[in-house]
This record gives sequence, structure tokens and C-alpha cells, in this order.
Amino acid sequence: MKLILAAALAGCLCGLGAQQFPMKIDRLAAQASDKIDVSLSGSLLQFAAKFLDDNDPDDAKVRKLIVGLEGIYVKSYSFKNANVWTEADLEAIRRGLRAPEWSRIVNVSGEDGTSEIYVRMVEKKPTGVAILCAEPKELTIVNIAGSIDLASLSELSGHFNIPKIPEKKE
Amino acid sequence: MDGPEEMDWLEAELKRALAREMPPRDFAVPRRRPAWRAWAAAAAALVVLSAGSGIGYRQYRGREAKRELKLALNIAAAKTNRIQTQLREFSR
Repeated sequence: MKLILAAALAGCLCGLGAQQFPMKIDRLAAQASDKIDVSLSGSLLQFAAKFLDDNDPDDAKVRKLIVGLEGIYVKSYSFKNANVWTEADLEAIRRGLRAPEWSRIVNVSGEDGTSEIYVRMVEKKPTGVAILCAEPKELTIVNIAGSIDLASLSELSGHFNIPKIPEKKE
Repeated sequence: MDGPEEMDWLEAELKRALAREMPPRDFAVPRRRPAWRAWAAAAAALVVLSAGSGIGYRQYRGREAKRELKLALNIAAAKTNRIQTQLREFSR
């Protein structure tokens, strides 16, 4: 009996250890015209890495980037109309990022919506990143568990069909 | 040399070669192999088939996981890039 309880507890802890904060946007999922929901735990990441081709420069970059990652979780919803998401929806997401180990390092708000980046620090070491991007017709939440270099991640733009966002000229 | 004697000899040889022969007694009796051989062959075929489909499924899952990984990084990179661009614009 004790063994079963211990196994169940370990299972719960493993579950908590994967995705680092709850992504509660079910209300919006029902209204989205396009939904992307990716959930890659550490073991799946390792498995996917076995199929990366080192002769392919893009695959080689991906392999380098995912070293030390424990999971990648993405929810991205597109809507036909603007303003489907509300401030209350964003607040519900932020609530999960209020734990003491999370710190918001970037917060940009404007006409194009809101963008926020959070970093999770444990014993002064980065152990996760959360990205919240709320655009008029799109809402995206990303949780990268583990240590990742955001600059290297950003450099992936322009590779494997990621459109590089041009800077606006004044 | 091509006289009637030679022709007779050739005819006789042909008759002998094409003569009807009775089949051996056990010709029509099906030869029965031991049952274990059939089972062993079926088992071997099953093992090969399941191993093949297992490898195929693993390949499929791997390619699918790789596609999802790239998609996730794709989105994360695009959003990070967008935020960086917004920050640059704000700092001007």
C-alpha cells in the first residue's frame, strides 16, 4: 500500500515537474479558429532529438538549443475576430506565474497587444522561461522548462520557415 | 550417312525419350511435413511482421515528435523576436 502511495506521489511530482505553470485558457480554445497545442516532455524531447539530422544546419541548431531542456509546452490560438481574449484571461495566466521563483523580465504593452517574458530562477539558476504574447487576433503562451538561451532562440528566426519580423522604419 | 538406317535410329531414340512413363506410386500422395514446422514458420512470420511494424511506428512517432519540436521552437522564436523588435522600437 505504501509502495502504491509512493508511486502515485512520484507520478504527481513528475507531472508537476514537467509543465511549470498551468495554462488555463480553455474558454479561449473553444473560440479559436486555429489551435496549436504542443506538449513535449523531457523524454519526448530526447526521442525527437534522435531524429534530428546533424548534416542539416537547422537540425544542428535545434539540437544545440535543446541541450538541457526538460520540456517545451506551447498553446497558440488564433481568432477570426479581434478582442476575443480579455484582461481577465491574461490575469488567469499571470496568476500561475506569481510563484516566488518566477520573475517578469519583460513587459511590453501597446496597440499591438501585450508581450511578457518571465524567467524561473531556482537557487540563482534559470530553470525555465514563460512567454505570454497577446495580440489582437492571437494569444500565445510558451513554457520552456530548463535552461535556454533566449538570444539563441531568437536567432532561429529566419530559419526553418520562421518569418523574421522586420523592424519598422521611421 | 543420312540414310534410312540413321533415320530409324533417330526415331527410336525419340520414341524412347518421349515414351509415356507411369508415375511413381507415391506421386499423388501429399507429403506431410511435421506440424511444428508450420507453426514455427507462422511464428517467425509473426515476429518479423510485428518487429517491422514496431520499427515503422517508432519512425513515425519520431518524425512526429521532431515536427512538433520544430513547431514549438518556431513559435517561441517568432514571439521572442517580436518582443525584441518591440523593445528596440520603444528604446528609440
